[in-house]
Amino acid sequence: MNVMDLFAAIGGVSDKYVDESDRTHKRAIWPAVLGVAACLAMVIGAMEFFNDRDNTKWPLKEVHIEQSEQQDNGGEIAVLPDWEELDINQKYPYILVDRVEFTSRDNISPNYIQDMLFSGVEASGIDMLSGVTHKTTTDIYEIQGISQDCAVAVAFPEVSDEFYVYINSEYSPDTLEQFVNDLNLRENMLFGSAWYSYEKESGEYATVEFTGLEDYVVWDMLLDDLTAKNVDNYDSMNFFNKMSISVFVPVLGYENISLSVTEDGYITTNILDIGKAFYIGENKTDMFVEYVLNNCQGYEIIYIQDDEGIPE
Amino acid sequence: MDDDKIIELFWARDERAVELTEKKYGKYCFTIANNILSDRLDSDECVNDTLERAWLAIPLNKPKNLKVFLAKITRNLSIDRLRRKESIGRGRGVVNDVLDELIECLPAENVDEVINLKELEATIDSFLSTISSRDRKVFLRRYFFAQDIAEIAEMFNLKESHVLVILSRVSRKMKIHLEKEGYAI
Repeated sequence: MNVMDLFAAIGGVSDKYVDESDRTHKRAIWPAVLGVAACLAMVIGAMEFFNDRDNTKWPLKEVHIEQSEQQDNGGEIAVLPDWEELDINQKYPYILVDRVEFTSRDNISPNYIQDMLFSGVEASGIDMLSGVTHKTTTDIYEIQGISQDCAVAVAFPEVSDEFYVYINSEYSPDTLEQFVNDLNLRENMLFGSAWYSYEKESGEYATVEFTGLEDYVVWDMLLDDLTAKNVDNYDSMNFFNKMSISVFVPVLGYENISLSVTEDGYITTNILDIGKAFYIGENKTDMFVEYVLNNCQGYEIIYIQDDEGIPE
Repeated sequence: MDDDKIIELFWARDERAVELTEKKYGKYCFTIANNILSDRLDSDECVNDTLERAWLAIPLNKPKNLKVFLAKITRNLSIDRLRRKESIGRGRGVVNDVLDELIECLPAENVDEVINLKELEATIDSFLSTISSRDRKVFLRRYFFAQDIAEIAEMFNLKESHVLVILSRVSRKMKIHLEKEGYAI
């Protein structure tokens, strides 16, 4: 077996895993799909041009996409950092807490730290360059308003007064109510723009950003039925998004991830990494999409790659 | 148009299926091809070949997920093209970094034997079921989509060094898994 055999064989993994990784869109979909670094400079321009769709006119917003410096240099050089160069949460990316594996994210302000849950929890990490296994002892804290089933804060003796968020990426709530309560989303979740993709008469797909969406609208129209159940077979389901909303959960370090409404009446999200989907009915998802289309300011996004233009 | 309707058109041998697929997924397929080939002309040809393969394949094989179906075809065609480029000395381009990293996954006493691709695919699939969702997604963004480290870091809200550590750890685990499954001689 050579490395090309292995590379080819990775192409034969289950569709559900490919689909799962393909649904990870941090920002508006197209910059990622275009395969360029997300180094964006937003410029509102060409306001005199409008697009007609169902009597709705959206001005154009140009988004300039610059090639990353690394790509300009002909591709990144992936160099594994020395052990000493790693942040402490990178040295110890997994911690077993009460028999549940938590994975590291960013550091967290001490203001969010509550009671200590466990003391002296051992963590081990491998120096990938030397192969040496390192061990340390951590203290595990509760995060304000966050269930320990979802995430905890970890303190390391090597770094005083610093705390790091570790999440249970396999967390799967039964209902929307449990999800909202476990993460205290009413206080911890903020919404940004809504993103809509549609097929133009020319057959091309356009992306429209809608700004000015009030948080209470999302809560009232999409998140009011707390009895909605989480699907237990997310990976085997095919969801087709009608509209996505940018979501921020600052306490856990999530920026610009997504809450989406699908064509068949689900809301889906990748908060805490693993996909979750709650069925709220097509009436609600349709009404929400119509609300955004009719009440929020939309801009059709025109991506302009500064050096070479968008590949056709 | 949604994917089910496009697939129906493929089944009905309606050539609009190819046109609609190109409009909806052409750029997506191009990106996958270009990540692997680093050559716009070759990547364009790969996209055209993908559409032709889909046209030929769908009467025999109705995909559950059109997007993934197309991604896999594009990827396979791109790798075939990459092998041909290598054989005539044109080099691997940017994907060489991805392949260099993957060497870490090869079993220690690996020999250049003929492998059963289907068995290897199943072994990798079973390995992926053992790691966390995030690590699996990061791994596939890099080694399925050949996406660059900076983009992956951006997608997952991680530092680039953190992405490298995740990839390195998963590679090490996969190497151990492959050895346990008999890929070491």
